[in-house]
Amino acid sequence: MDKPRIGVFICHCGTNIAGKVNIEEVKKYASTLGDVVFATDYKFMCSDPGQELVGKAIREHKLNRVVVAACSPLMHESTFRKVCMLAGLNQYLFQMANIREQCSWVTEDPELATVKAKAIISGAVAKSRYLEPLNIKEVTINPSVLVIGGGIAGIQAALECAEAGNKVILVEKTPSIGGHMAQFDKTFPTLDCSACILTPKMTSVGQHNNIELMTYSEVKEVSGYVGNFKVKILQKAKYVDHSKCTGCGICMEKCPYKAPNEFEEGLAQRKAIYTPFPQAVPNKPVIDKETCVYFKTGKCRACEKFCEPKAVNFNDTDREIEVNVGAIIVATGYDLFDTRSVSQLGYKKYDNVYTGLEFERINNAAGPTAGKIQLKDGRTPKSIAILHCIGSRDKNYHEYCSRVCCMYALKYAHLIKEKTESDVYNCYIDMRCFGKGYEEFYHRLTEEGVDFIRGKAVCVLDYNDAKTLYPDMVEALGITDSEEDRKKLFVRTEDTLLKKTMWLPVDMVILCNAMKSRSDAKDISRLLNISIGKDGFFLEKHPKLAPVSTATDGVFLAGACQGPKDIPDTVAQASAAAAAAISLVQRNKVVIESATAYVNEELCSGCKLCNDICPFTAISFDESKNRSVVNDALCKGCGTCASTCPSSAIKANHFTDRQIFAEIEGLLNL
Amino acid sequence: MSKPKLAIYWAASCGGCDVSILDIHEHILDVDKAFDLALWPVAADFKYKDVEAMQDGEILLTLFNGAIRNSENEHIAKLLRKKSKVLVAFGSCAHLGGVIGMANLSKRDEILDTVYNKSVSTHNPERIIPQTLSRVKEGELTLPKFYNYLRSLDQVTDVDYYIPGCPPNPEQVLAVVQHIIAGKPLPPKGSVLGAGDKSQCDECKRKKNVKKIREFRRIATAIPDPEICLLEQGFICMGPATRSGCGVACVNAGVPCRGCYGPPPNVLDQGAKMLSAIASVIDSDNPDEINQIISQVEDPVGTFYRFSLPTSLLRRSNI
Amino acid sequence: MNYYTPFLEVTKTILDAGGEDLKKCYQCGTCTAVCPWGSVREFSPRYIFKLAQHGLEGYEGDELWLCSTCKTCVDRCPRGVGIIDVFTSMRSIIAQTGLIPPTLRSVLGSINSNGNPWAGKREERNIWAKELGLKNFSGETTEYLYFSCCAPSYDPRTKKIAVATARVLKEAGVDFGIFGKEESCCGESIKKTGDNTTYEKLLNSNISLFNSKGVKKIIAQSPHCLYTFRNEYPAHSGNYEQVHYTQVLAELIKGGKLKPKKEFRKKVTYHDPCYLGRHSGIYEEPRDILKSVPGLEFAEMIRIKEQSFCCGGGGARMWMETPKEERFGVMRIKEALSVGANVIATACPYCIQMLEDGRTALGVEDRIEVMDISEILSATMF
Repeated sequence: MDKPRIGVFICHCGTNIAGKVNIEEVKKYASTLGDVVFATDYKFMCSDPGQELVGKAIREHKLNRVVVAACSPLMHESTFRKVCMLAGLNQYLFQMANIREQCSWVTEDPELATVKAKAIISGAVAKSRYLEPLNIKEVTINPSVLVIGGGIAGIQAALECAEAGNKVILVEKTPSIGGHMAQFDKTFPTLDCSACILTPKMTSVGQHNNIELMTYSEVKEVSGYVGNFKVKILQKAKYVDHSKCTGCGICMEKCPYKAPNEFEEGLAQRKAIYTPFPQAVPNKPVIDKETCVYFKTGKCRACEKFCEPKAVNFNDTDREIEVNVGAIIVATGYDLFDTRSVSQLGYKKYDNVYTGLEFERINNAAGPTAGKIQLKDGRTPKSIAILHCIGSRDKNYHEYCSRVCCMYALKYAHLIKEKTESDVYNCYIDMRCFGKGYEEFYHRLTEEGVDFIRGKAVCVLDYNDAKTLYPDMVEALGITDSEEDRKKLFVRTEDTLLKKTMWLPVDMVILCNAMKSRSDAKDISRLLNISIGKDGFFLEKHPKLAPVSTATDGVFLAGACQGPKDIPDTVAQASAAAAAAISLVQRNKVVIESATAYVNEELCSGCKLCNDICPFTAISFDESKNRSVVNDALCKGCGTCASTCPSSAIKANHFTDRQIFAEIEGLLNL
Repeated sequence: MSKPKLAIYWAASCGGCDVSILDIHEHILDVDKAFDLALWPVAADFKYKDVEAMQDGEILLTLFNGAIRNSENEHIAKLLRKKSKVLVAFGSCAHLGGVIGMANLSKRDEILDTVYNKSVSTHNPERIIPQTLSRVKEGELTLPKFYNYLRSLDQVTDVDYYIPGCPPNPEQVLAVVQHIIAGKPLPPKGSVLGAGDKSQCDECKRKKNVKKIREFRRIATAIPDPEICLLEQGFICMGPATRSGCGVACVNAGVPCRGCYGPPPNVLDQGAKMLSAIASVIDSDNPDEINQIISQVEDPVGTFYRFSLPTSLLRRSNI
Repeated sequence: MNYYTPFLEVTKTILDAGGEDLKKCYQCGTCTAVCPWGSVREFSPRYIFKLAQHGLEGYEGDELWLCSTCKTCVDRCPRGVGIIDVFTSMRSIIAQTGLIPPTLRSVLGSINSNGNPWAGKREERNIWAKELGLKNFSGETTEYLYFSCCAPSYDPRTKKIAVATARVLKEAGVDFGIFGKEESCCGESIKKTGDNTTYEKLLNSNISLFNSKGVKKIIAQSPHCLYTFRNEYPAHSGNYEQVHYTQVLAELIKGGKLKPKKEFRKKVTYHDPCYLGRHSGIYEEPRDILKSVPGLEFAEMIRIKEQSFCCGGGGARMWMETPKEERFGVMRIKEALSVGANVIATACPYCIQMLEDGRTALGVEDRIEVMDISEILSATMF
């Protein structure tokens, strides 16, 4: 390598840096550093004229190292790498010195900030001397996209990708796509029928030539890297050959065994051979091995007897299928908070205390009550309390706001008012109606006569408990011991606007329970190497500027797996994730990071200390050579293995010991 | 023509290195045949002034064992450097500072206080501590100056080669000596002789798996499985961060490697490297649990820097 | 016409006095709605907090002294507000001005002159133990210090529970001793009055006594003392292993070292003391003891364990007047009667007094007894 000729470019970043750091002094200092042949400053180095200035200086001063002192490498490292490349310099001979986030923004005293800026630049210059040019690596991209999860987010993302001409593999854990949205009755605030707007999309997925739908399947293993993922999918045994099945339904009719119906939230039953709901896609049944009596006793086979096309196959087995894709969209959705953990609310203890989703089913024309809002004993309720923020906005459970409850609570209130004469109480902390048409919907509901009580409901008692604990209250509220009154539930809250403790004697209580991350979110995060935030949901790469990307290139997020979301936001995000995936896979080739680690076989002793520490699973072990190997396409250059390797056989390109020591010495001005 | 001259010197060390030279057994006769002894204080009666009288470079080979703890060590190191063509730092103390290098954790006065006042076996009611200069009626008595801290040989003078080990493996010593006797070309200056280029694990026959450590154990209180990598079993074995060459002697005997052969070629700081490796494979995400696991490591400096403290990035505690 | 504007300097005084958590409150009303006072009168901690957040007049009124520190609200608060700490800090500001309720003033006077809140003579401390032949504690010869709480020495009803506990412990061969007049009140309720000076005096006097005598392990009769030894003493270099007597006895029964002998043919329910349950997380040991008693029929009330209903004696309420119709003890006795119990058992001297009071106020002495766990055990032993 030639003798270093270093150029230092100091950015003012408007007043972001120049307002604190004495640029002139720093520039003078930089030009005194060894091997620095050119030092200059500019108002905005990242602007077009700024970039031109750098490129011109590289050519004119024959620079072979470039140091830009400006903001974080996250912001503009790629900008200046490109400038270097265009000027004919290998992009890895560029070094960024962060004098904004790490200096001017966080240092109060201008003099100290100037001293610190000098030290940071001195470190960068010292490191740059030892920078080595690295080869630019390109890999080809597989144009297929994997979508995990067949709820509305997965459906939307799959359709967008398929329409753009990409092959899509859509993996769904349950026997049908549709997700939570298929369970809803109406959608807020427009009150469209959920099934009516969802089923056409589900059908399109089922029929689309570019979509390979794999229901009753789970992703088991993901390896590879951006553009070239290898995915192992477990196709659970359905015991029904869907290529033969006509979906006539006779098997379900004849099956004598029943289990709680998951789709109906356990409020109804289904058969052991079943489709989750009538509009299921695919509309062909599976056998639930746990319930089916044949698997227990070896007898029955009723379904098989009646199946004309002979589609039932009791010898079916789980199968593992391997597919190759270029991008992955995660749309695994959410779980609901288990309201039993707030025992004071009487869920599963008293009749007529329901969760929001249970109420959706009760209210749904296709649901267990055929859409009639009724109590367990068949009566129509005369009063209903809807309790907000159950498990949301609560440090004891989930600190975040679930974002959808205020609105669906209003929707329930409306539907109740529409179908019954019932009084409706909403116990809320704050009404959050922020979306398009939401505030108007809230207004409409106040006019419909819904009673709003600003206070969090803390307990629900049945008649007996209330009578024992608060006999005076029961009497004062005029509750008699008539059969009807004895089925009342008593909700207690403070109306914080009145400073009065309130008791609401009602027939039904609906708990707006929190949306929470999937119970298996951790497994998925491990499979895909994506992070989980404090709230348990998947973490996007940047909350504002990269909301559908993840820390793993080529893996994108859609819908409620990233955080609580309503349907409009979910669909918008799913389209965004699809666009991001399409824009990636249609590029054909992608440049991957060259600042990766490699194992020097001469020095590796095969101790295996590095084998399990790579967060990107890029390290494997070559038994024949007794040496560890880094797959540089998977490697992100984090350096964990290089610092782990006890014999320094692993070197992290662009962050070698020599470069790092030089930087430290430079920082300390040694 | 007279035979080339050989010097063997014992500075601050235990004496084991001198014994290891004798451990080449009858081959010592070959050495005697090939060389004239110029200095070997433990074996023959030479005077420093004999060496001082020699021409510069008159000695072909000096095997210098022991670290530099006092002014006498330093004086002889520099003297032998001048008089020798090839100066070899022989054994861990000369090479890296050695076991006695852990004294760099203590201040000079603390060391003297321990040795001359506090140790249980000392009877010194007048608290007499050796002085560099004592005036008695017969005249002045002098002693070498005891330095504030200990250094390796190459921290006081230029060294040509290193033979590692505490003590060096006799077979390796023999091989090096025979190489020189045969007049074969020597490797580049600064090379480590009589050792390999990889870590101990390269020669270790124990079965190695992916490492996940949940508990540290000590050989004093637990019995390791004889087939499996000791580190995997929670015994801190310095093998992964130690240069090969000894034939994995300790590990084969069922004891974790202590690291006397020093760091492998590219490693700057043996202890830091091993710490960093172990820290990476502790199998827990829970800070409290991690602290609990780490707290099981008895004597961290003695474990990770047993032989290399004076030549590590740490070097010594503040004086 | 009044004009209002926030007065944030007042707010800051509260925050500085240890009420930092005041800032976290988002006014949902959970505290008000779960507060036991809500069953008998209007009382909104939330409202007091809002006034305090604005620094407006009114937070310092009489209602400030209602809180019995039962911790129901703290456990349910969605923002994790240390509501008791905020109340205590507001009380401490008032205490500095001397405007504390008059009955508390005499309690503090007694603490200052006698080292106990019951206006009893210091010399008479541990008079309850006179005939039991208990040894004096010494770190060299004794394993446990038994800390009886002040109440048994000066209140005839609670005297019985200390006697019962001491006898059972002795019978089981537990090696324990007591202090005499040198010992003072643990200080728990005194802290809740807001008088930090007096409180710290108590703390330091006990800690220096304990440390000088070599105390390592303490068996506490009262959950209030237990709480203080556990949560307050360590920060003032008072580090002891502390256990509640029910823990010791449950362990002895489990290990077969103590065996209830005689039958106790009664239907017993158990009232969880706030400071034993919510504050210290001890729910099972008292129940285990009761269930080990032969012949005893055990019945749970509706509000148990984490949801137990306060007796009304905590937070220095012990020494404040409560109108008969507002007494929690009365409600608790009613609840016990509703499950058909003829004994309500508990494990706290304050609860004993408040429940006895409720029983008398209701005039149901013939229908239900109030007994400490130790008294039931003692009845089956001797």
